[in-house]
Amino acid sequence: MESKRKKVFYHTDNFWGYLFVSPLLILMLIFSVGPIFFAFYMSLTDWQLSGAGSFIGLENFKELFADETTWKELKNSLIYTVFKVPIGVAISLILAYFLNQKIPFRGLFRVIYFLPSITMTVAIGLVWRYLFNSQYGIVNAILAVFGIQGPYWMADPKWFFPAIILVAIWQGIGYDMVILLAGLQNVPGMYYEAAKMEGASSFQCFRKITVPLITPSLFFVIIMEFMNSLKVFDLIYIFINSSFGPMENAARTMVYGIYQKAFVHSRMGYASAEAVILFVIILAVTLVQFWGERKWVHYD
Amino acid sequence: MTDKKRRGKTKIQGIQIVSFAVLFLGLIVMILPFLWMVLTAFKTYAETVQIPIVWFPKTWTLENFEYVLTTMNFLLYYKNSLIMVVGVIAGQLFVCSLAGYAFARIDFKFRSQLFLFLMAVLMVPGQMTIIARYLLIYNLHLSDTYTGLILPLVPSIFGTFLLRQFFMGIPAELEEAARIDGCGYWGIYSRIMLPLAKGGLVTLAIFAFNSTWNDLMWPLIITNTEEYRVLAVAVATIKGAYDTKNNLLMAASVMVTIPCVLVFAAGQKQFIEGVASTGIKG
Amino acid sequence: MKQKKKWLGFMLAAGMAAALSACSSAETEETTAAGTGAQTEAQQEEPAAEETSGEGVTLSLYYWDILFKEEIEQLIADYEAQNEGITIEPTQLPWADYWTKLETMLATGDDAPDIFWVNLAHLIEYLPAGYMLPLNDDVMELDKYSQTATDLLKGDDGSYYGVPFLLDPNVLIYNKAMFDEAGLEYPTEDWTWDDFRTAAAALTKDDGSQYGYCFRTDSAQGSLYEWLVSAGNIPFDYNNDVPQFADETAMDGWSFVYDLMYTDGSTPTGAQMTEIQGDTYFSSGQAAMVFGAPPTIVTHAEAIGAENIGVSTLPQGAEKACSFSVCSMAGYSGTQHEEEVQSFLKYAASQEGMTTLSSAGLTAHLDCFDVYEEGLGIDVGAIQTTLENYKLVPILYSVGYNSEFQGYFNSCIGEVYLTTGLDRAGIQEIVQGYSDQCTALTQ
Repeated sequence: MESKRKKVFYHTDNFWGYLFVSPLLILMLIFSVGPIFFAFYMSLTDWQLSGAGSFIGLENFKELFADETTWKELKNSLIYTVFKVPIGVAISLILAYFLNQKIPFRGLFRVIYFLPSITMTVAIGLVWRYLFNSQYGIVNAILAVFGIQGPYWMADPKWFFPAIILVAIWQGIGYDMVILLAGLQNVPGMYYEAAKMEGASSFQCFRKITVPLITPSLFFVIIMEFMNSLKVFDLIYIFINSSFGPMENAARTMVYGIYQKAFVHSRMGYASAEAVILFVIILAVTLVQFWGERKWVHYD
Repeated sequence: MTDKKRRGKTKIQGIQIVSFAVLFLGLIVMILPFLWMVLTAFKTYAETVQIPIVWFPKTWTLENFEYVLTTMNFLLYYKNSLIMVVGVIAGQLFVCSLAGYAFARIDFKFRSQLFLFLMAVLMVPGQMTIIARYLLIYNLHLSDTYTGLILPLVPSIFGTFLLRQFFMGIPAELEEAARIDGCGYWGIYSRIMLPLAKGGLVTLAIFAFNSTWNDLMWPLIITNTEEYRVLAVAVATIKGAYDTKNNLLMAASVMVTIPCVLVFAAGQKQFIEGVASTGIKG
Repeated sequence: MKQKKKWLGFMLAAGMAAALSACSSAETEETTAAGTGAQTEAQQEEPAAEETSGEGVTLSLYYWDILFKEEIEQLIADYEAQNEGITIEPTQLPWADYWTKLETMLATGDDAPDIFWVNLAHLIEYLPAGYMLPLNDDVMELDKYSQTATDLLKGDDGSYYGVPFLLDPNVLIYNKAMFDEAGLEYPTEDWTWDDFRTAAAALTKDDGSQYGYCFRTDSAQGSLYEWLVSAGNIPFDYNNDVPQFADETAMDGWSFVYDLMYTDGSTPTGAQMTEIQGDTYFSSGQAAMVFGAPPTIVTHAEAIGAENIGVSTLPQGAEKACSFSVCSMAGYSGTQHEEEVQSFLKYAASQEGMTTLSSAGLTAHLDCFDVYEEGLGIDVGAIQTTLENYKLVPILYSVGYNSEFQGYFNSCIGEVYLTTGLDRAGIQEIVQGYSDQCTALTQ
């Protein structure tokens, strides 16, 4: 930044950088890093329920790759992510833009659009299950208006998982919207005024000013969405829990599988192995995104 | 000139109308499950198991709340949840804003490597680390303490990343100007960056509130006694092995969720278009 | 030189951070020590002081059912009154996360509960893991307990590992008002499958507003599993890990229910009962009969009115048989206070202890039935008959290795009853497919 002279250590960027990061780093090292290494180690053991397992090398991984449910879980996690992330983020972005307009009842709208993310997951599962009901549900009633005979969403393995993804998108909107809404606060109002003077349309304003200026928030939202989607559990668990057999197989994702292996089948080591695979996938996806960061994210 | 200005204005109204209309249409879908939750808290059990679903209770009953309040020590749970949530929010705002600022603006060695290393922590599903984390807390003698409830939730990578993005979005010129005036990193952080990142801090506080308030697994694992029980755990105990009485469950849920709504309603007021940036202009 | 300075800087930063974070946590830490350094020390001493003070012994007890809250507290209060110096601290945990919590505690050992509730499926898993405390011979008066229940709690070493406080055989629950309306006799204890089928058809209304029968489509109690058992089948031979639900006897059960559903239309379809949990049709007053464990009688009664609830035995197929589950109260093998644990369990297993518990649920203690029935306020003599005269088959084990069988069995139920237009051979083909998958698993 300034002309580089020899500086005393407490004037260096390194000192201040590490000083500022240290509270986080120390707490992290204490509370999280150890358990994670422990989980990694477990993946190489046959740890079951009772205390110590013995080291078995890569056996767990071999078994995982040979098991077709692993592939099913992987496939479902990816499908979920591929649909949930882009659609969810796009809707959230548009909603955040709308909710940032000077409109009547803006505060109320914001609260209501945030409600899905704080409503009990149990209630969400129950109500959506009902909305998707083939006889009484509103979803098929709407489809019927267009002359479409809606499927048995909750009783047809083909439609069960897509229905869950729909609910997931619905539920996730609130969170992303809030982050983007907060990001919009960094967009100086004068930019819009200037653009309007130039006669730009609202859509042009949105595309040319809003979106580029909130790319830092957008980047954050996309990274987190990818991570959380690949790790999805709660909603899947709630829906599967009140269904049975074929639905479970249609909708099981990786973390669902991990949970089952660990706490239902009591195979900690085996579950850890799947967690390691998931970790590697998320890491790869995240690294690619950070690599692409400078290409589209405009800071400042 | 005036013509253009007027045209601009009508367009603004256009987007406002569109916004309002779209948001209004979406209302019902967004509110339904929440509404059902609230309404069900006032129903009898019989009404919760009807086919098709019953939306409005025939006679509104307060019995569910009465049951929940008499069988459970809600006052204590509120206190515990509140202590936990305040501790976590205070801790996260401090720890994450410092680290977030450093990752955004201070050019220290191995910055990006360290950041990615920390991000990696987020990539391991929590289900896998729960036993080891419990062991750790137990060996630190922190089980059944508020410290144990709070401290492990303080180092939030989510929060650090969120604030990093906010700090990065703040114009660098402001920082340069302060530096020329002789401000150090601490001064820039505390006097310039923090006020500017208000939106980010509020967002983090909202999220920290919701995730901590509703966190079930962590408090469940590290506390054993009633004395340290939090709301989320208390609510979960209503679910039975055979049947769950949704009227009771929802009554308890309502009592847990209302504070979340209030916190968000208060927090969202901070999101006002353009103010942050125009305010500091100059 | 430069290196050293950097290192020093880092240390300094670390020190400061530690101090800072300690401060920030102390702010919120009202109850524990105020100082930063003293804080951790104080906490380290706390539990130790408790252990060695000699004041008395504190035992922890985990359980999950909120319906038992009052009774458990009563039981403990009575016990504490008789045993000076022993305190028992009950913790009621959420059912959904009970096992996760319990297993975390057991896996780490030190903090595990001294006494805990455990169901059969988990007990079977915990036994070989060495978590279970063998009960002293004098804990249970065996002749006072249902032998079906106690036999399952017996280890290979001949010791018993749990006090069965809850015994849930499956029964037929029916809606009296619907029988009255249709002018039918109430189900009797000598009903056969044919009687059941005739009544179910008569109770079904053509407009779909009322069905004769509904059932849960998972493998919980009250599901299809009952029909297999009643047909004389034992769906799984757990001793040898052999699936038997595709046997010829089982096929009678599969196809009988299939006919009820698709030939007679006297149950909602498989799809309907997947969209809405099957037994909800009974609670909502849209089905006249359902199977269920005793605890569900209470909830059904609350939904349709206790005066409308009747309870009978399961209709008799090839055998008088039904499924059952058992929950027991057990001790942890690693407890520091074995003597006290045994003494508490002995009290719980006594007639006095079981009488306290019986007002919340059906215990396996044979002399407490009246207390249970009185607490319920519904005539449940059929449960007594079931316990005395029926072959009781344990429900599917839902944990560990066995849970994988359960998974296949569930999928099988789903596939059979979601598919329309099957005949017996078609059903057989599907069921056989799943049975083969189970067999493959065991090899």
